[in-house]
Amino acid sequence: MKLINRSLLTPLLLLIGSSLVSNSVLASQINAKKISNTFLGHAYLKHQQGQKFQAMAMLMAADKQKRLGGDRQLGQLFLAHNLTELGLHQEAIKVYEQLARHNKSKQDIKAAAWLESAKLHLQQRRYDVTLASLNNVKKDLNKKQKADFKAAKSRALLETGKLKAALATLPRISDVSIWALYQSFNIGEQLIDEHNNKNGAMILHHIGKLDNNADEEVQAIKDQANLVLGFSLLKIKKPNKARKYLERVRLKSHLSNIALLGMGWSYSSEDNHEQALVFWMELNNKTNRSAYGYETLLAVPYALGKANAYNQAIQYYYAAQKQINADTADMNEAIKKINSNVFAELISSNPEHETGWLSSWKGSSGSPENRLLPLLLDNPEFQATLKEYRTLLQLKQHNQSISADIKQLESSLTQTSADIARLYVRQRQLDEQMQHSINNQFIKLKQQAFNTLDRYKAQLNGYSERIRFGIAQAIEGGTFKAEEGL
Amino acid sequence: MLLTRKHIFIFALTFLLALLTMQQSQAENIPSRATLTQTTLELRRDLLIAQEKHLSKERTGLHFYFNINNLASSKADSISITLAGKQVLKSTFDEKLLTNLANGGMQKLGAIQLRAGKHELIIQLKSGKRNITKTIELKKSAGRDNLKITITKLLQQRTPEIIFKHETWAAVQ
Repeated sequence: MKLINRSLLTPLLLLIGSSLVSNSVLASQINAKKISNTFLGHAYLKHQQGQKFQAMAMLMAADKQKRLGGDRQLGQLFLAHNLTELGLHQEAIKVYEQLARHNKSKQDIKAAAWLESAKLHLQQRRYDVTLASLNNVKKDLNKKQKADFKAAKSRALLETGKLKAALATLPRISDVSIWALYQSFNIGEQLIDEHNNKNGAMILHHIGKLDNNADEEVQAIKDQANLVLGFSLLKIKKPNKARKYLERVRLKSHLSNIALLGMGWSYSSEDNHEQALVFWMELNNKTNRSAYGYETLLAVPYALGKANAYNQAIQYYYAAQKQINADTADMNEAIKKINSNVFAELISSNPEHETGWLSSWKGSSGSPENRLLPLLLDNPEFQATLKEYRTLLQLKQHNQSISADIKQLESSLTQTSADIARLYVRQRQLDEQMQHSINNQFIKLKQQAFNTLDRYKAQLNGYSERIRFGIAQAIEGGTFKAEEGL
Repeated sequence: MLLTRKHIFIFALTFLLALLTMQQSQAENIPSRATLTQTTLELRRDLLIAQEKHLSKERTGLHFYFNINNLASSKADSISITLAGKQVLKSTFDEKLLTNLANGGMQKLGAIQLRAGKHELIIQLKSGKRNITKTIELKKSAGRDNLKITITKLLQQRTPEIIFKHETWAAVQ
């Protein structure tokens, strides 16, 4: 019997090695020291102080009133960066390309605009357009931009099947640009996974060994690189080498559980079950479960059986079944709770903060069991749907604050104004549209939660069958051992 | 009998198709987050322009901005602006704000209503134990005026210097 589910290796690799990119990383900052215009400088300060929405509106107002003067191009570049941060990639590309194609744009602005639009095209998997945009970048790149340029080109070449050219264009692995480092990780992972190319391992090895223990983002990429490399080595049956990388994953990283699971597998594949148990027991004792956490429910008694500790193995199998029954019941209860109105209130609370709902969730009897939360959040689709829902709620808050500001403006005037009446109409229309989108997104969110829990329930149901088989095998092993002793 | 069943089938099929089309058109009517964000930004932008149009201080006032240029070793504690012997503005700075200002940001100190024409302003900057005072003669326009106050220190100088840039804009109509 194959109790340790090695088929989980591929999905796990996909989970940890899925294309990495974040908007904050994508939107690099402009050279603010060059700002001379007061409107742009003020908008830039507001942005630095966290009032990004207000900053963009101020900049857009100054641009509409043609007040940016000689700083207009810099302002447009800043606007496009902000649009990227807000996830408005198409709008950002439009601004970048206008800047890049404009005859009067300065060379450094043109180069930056082509490069940034290429990065966005790359994220949207338009690789030919990415390469075409990069071809327009002639010169005037700083160190960080050079790293981004090489990383974008290498990735686009790889995606279009030009392996040799991609390898020749690879940037040097360094932390000068987090975006380039993310791309290097993606290239390395892809070279291993799809091309079976040793250079991929070299890239991940160099990322994992980067001498930077201060930057949290660099640390996170290092953890990912070490984990992917460790699991890749496990896959090709090199457990000893795999451990070297798995051990480097920081314990405080959210990936440490997967690393623990991998460490157990590495020893198990060498038939060192006692040592495998050290890691699996540690994982098994954690209260919050996830896909890999559930895997240890069976891995522990399996290893105990292999170590001839049959009675303990049986005990752990029974405990696993008890846990599965309890978790399945909790999941059924959670589905009922997610269907109730309380869930809508909980998940919508404190919209001003991205994770503001967590405090309400943890303190309410109406919320599903806390320990099921990691299961939901481990699902990237649920996470993305939740993030989108929360962003829409934030947008609605912005709209409500606009409504309050229109009222305040109205109250300070002695006579009625057509401008204000028009603003009211637009604000109300927008509010209706937003509510429509929020309702629609909430339906999607609930469906994602149901799908996730249903998937886990099916997984646990499958485990029950394997537990029965494992118990039978342990009893048989124990009986054989007893007979041997007679 | 057969004919009736056929009719029911056709009716049910038509109903289902209509329902599907309705659902599809509803889904198409839901605006994307990108559209909603862009529309919200445009609304906020137009509100800012309306505020400037309808509030006289915003429309035709004198607006003061402050930034720091090339000033690694000195700190600015506070700045005050005096007009015709009367202090019209005072602002203090904390560490965080100073860092943001040194990185290219500009702080809006405030705005005052001022009639068009010539005026004398005294700017006083407090930096540690040092007080730096500078007088500027400014010709206020009929529209909106921005006065950018920059403190800077040239490499060969020990004391920071205050420099000004005056911008004028036609009043929003």
